[in-house]
Amino acid sequence: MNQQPYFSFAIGSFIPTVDVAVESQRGAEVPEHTGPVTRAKSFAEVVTLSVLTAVASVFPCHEANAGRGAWAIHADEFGSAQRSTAQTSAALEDWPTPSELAITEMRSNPARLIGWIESGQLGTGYLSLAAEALGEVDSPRTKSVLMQLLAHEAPVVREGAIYGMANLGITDLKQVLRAIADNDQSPGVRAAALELLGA
Amino acid sequence: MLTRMVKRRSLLESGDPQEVLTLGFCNRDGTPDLSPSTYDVESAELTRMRSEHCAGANMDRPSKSFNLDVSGLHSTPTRTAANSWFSFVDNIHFELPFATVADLMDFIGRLIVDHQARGDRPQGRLLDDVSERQCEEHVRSAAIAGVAEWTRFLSEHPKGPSWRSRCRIP
Repeated sequence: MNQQPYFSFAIGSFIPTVDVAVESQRGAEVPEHTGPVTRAKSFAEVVTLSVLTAVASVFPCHEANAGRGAWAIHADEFGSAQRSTAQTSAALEDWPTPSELAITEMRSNPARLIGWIESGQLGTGYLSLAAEALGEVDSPRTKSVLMQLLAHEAPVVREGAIYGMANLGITDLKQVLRAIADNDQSPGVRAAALELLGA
Repeated sequence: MLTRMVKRRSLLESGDPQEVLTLGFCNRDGTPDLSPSTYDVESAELTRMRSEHCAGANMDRPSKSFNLDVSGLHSTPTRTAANSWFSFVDNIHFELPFATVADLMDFIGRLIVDHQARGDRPQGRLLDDVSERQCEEHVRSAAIAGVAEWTRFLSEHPKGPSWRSRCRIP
């Protein structure tokens, strides 16, 4: 079983050399790249930057910068080095044996489902199923967790996150989905994004 | 063409056998399925297959499926009855018996290698998707045309009303 935590999608591990810093004043209609975007050489890096920029435009104020009057994406904020205490304790909880049934049943407890997703105890297959199931639960964190899963390194997880968004009925993410549909390296993920866009 | 329905269209992309096991060959309780169901079906009949499969499997409504061609990877597919509502899928249903999980994983390994050797669609093992909407249209058309099995299902099956509503059948 792949026990790699989902945080591994982090830019810091997925693309070790990328150094993204995008900042702009809140309310700006078109975000500007005022910080350096360095060493973005590979196709994967360019694609990831594109998705991150789209994500940033959907979430104008990143949680870590709330109240600062600016939005920002810093690559290491998505990285494993930045796990919160809550996430660390989630990894230590007593989780059930992963299964489709267990994930389905956990929809009745959204906080626990999110904790399981963040625990690092789910392999990519079950993480994909959990992402889809997450779209069916009512939690203030649903959207942000799905957005993070959209950047996971495993195509099946990104695809699951897209189905989660479909379940959630998200209508304000067209820019993110368009970036994925245009740039994701996975044909399956691109097709899923196109499907959700209604193409 | 022996077809296995799976949960993700990107399933064979990473080449991770554990992913393929989880999303393509596990029971709902997480145990490996040592007799996974397949259908011997032509591409043109995938929508019919999926629609009748969902109905016969007691699902609330038709749902999308991604389909893998697993032909030639198992030596003894076994014909088994599986659906008491629809004779078409009943007659094309085969199980792939595996004695052990290791045998199943060996099969999955061959599936991945063969897919990667062929390249992606249309040459690879990934077949056309079937969408919810395609299934709904298929059921609606069958109901309007008075296909006996669908008429019976929609009127007698406990999930019939749900399917009628979903497929916009008056």
